Amino acid sequence: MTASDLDAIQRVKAGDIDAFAVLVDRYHDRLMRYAMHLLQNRADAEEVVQETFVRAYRALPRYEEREQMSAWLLRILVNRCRTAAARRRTFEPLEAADFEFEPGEDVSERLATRDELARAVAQLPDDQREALALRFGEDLSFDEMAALTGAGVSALKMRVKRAVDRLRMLMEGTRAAV
Amino acid sequence: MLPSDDRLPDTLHREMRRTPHLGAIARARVMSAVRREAQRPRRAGWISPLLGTALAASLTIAVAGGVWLRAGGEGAALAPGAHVLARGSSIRDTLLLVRFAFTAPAAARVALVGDFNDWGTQRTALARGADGVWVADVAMARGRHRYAYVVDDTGWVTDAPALDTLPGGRRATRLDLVNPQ
Repeated sequence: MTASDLDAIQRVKAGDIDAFAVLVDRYHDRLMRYAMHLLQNRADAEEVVQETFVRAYRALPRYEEREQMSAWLLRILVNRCRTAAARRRTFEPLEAADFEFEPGEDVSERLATRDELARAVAQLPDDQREALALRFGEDLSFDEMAALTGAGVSALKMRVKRAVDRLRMLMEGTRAAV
Repeated sequence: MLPSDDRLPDTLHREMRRTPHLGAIARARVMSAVRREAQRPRRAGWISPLLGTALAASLTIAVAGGVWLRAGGEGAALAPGAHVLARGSSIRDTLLLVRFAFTAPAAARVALVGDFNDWGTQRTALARGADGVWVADVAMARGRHRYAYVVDDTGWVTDAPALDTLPGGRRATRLDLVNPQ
């Protein structure tokens, strides 16, 4: 919990709705990162992220300050993504303009890699995609993932391993077909 | 190109950690949705509805962790228990969540002003609920406060009965947030 998070939360609770923008500014893009990994569709991702913030606002009186705001929001988002995954639409990745690039970076190569990764991740089962996004995208430990998802550590390790193995197979299959 | 060998985990980490930058418009859309939510009458998650009160102008409560609210000074304690938050609140130890309810069916706007918001008429707007009851839930520190309502940006109205006179002559309702323990 950062000091500014706490300040914003207290202001919102006191009736200053504009203070909620501090939290949106801080966490929106990070939540979009996770939602895009899970849903692979920009419109769907924006929808669940918006739902996440609205639900967070609604639940703010029950928010426990000992928990990191980022973790709390991510927990809401994970559940929203699980619901949204059932009605997921077609593959629609983010565009080049949605990312920043390093000076001198090969944008074409980078986008090709991103597109290849997104298409491969989209082929994973929902539980493996979720585990992969939490492990690699959010950089969570397996204990943190277990607390967030309700799954056991062993099961999560297996999901990540199977996801990586599956991606590796997909990559090899793609190259063999070229 | 994604590697298919042992470099794959490192590549996954690097690529999946990359955060998009979606700009102010996307965030503004989210805030619009949150503001719409804020305009809706509060649901049970915030505080138990108490819109059935017949008081013309009434202060209702928020009680957490056995704390009593007293409106109007000594001897005017509202009954505890009927308005307890649905769950333990993170503001329990430092702040109390207080619901202000004010009946004004004909009003277009009602604002809460008090020493806790520097008497600012634009800071704490009440939301219109059922039957012309306007409601705001405000996190407040324990202790003594003074407040009033401003109706349609001009009318200054107080809850009876405990009134204090402010510098300048206006009257305001005294509110004591005390802990009986």
